Amino acid sequence: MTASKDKEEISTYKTQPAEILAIRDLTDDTRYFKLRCKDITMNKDFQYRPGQFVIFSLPGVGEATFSLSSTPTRRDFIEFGIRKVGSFTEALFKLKKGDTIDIRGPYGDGFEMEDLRGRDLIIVSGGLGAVPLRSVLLYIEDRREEYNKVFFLNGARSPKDMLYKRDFIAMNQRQIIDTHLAVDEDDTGEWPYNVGFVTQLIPKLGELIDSENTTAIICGPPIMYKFVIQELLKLNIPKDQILMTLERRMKCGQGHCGHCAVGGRYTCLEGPVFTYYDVQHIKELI
Amino acid sequence: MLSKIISRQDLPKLIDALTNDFLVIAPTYDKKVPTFSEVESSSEVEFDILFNEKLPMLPPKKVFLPAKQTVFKYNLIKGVTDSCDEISDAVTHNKNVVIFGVSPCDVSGVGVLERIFRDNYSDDVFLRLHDKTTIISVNCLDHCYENCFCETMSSNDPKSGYDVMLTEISKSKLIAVPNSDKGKKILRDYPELFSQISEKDSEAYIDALNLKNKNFKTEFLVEGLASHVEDSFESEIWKEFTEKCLFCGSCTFVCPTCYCYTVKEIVSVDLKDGERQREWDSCYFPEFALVAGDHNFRETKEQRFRYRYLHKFVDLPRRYNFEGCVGCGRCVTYCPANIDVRDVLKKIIGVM
Repeated sequence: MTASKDKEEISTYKTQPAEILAIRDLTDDTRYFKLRCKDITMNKDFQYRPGQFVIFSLPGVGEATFSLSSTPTRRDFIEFGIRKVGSFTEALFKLKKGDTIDIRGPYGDGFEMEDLRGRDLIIVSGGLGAVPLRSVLLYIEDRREEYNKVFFLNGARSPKDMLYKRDFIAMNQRQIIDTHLAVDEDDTGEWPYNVGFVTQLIPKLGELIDSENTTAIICGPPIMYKFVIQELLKLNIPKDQILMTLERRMKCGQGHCGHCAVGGRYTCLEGPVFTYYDVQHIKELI
Repeated sequence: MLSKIISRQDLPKLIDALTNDFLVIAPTYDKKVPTFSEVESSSEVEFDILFNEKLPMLPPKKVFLPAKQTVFKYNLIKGVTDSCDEISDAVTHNKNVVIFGVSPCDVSGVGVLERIFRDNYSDDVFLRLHDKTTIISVNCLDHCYENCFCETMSSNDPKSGYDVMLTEISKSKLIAVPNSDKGKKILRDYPELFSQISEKDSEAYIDALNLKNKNFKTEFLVEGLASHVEDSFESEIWKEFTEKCLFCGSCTFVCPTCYCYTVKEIVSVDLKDGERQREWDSCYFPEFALVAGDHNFRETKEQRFRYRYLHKFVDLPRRYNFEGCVGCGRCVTYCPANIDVRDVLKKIIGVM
């Protein structure tokens, strides 16, 4: 179950036990889970890239796919942000600190963070998109000197719906990354940051970035992509420098069950991270 | 190792000999439906299915990728009790498997599945069953029935994927051509059933293959099919067939190359034991592309109808250099709505 070993060696459904180190609520229906592989040697071997995902197995309940939300620059634990939406997550939410989950992975093609060195970065997140992008953000914070200007635009429906609010406010205060936190509607009347759609924040970045040397990384609900991509193209960001991570139903993570296929690509193998250039003509993409 | 001759009347003896050493799967009738099933003696095998040109309802994929397959069993306290390998070995009674009487199109179908399941992460569950199986194919010298269009899909002359190919060279004789070590072993291990090939037999074999070449006709050209299907994304043709389709998924289940599966959890009533199962899934089912939060990437019936064609005739050729169709015609035979895949493709190409 390691990326460092040849993937051919991975037995199809072989899982490894991971202990829940911590759980906390992120929103009403979303929780943070921190895990550590019980086998310490496995733990060291668990190499992954931001954007990759892991499959959880709960005997008696089934399997489900979750994006890694931690950064590989911080070893010995992995983190997830999980919304309760179905029977699997309902069972998962009943677990407590100290309980065990079987995991397999990591799967998928994540972000090539090394290739982005020296570039300006615009990271746009909406809703649950914050989960995989938190991995990117923390990675960048840990290796900030490797990147040029970095902007993070995060959108949520309302202050109470914002995932990782605590982390992101702290990130805003640290100012290692130029962080902009937006809510569509401020029902509290006390939101000290931006109010409005996250797309409205993009045009302002035009004068601050060097378009040719900028990479945008986006993840969010299906509706968000179209508008965000439009705004990014207006800034003349090259199509192959718009990276997006896509969601699909997945059962195996290994390119066999057929569910995640779109336009001849398997989201679990070639994705979930795609460049806009590669997928712009694919139908039924989002 | 040279090809050998086996007489038609010795085929039952071959089956009986094989049953001593292998788990043998051969064509039988199950409630009058031609079916591949486990046989204990040659008396159970329906040779007329082979020689009177009928295809078993389900292709040999049911051996490697069964409709329902336990991947592992567990006890909620003790953990995994039966591993995938143990279960797979128990299913075949710790024996190697012979599938007897596989038609060339089905050999091609197995080849498609093997490529897919060996690619990327090789799939232990499929390959453990596949790799212990010897495939004895029986050649077709003519279209087996009206729904067959294997020539169109270039699937009736597979170059690999079978271990022995039996071709009728006369009413009483077949030539056995081995195509792998497993195949050679069959010819070597039952020497009393196989005789040397004579010059006359060789000539008869060439005649049989020439006859085969002459008999098979192409119905339409698959050259450029991927582009045709891709360019017809917005075509009204999909709508026309979507209206007829019942979305029962039968075509996907009887298809030798449809491989999509879902994973299910089966738990005992006392909630102590359980097993994880793979089960055939169909892209015609509404939940196939449904994700958490009720977002469905293929929400409409038309999208789902079209997707099967896109996957078989665009995605697979572009990825693997073969179509996801071997022209066996099962989907035509078993479609309750009388949809003929050839009609769909011909309309797309513009020849109907």
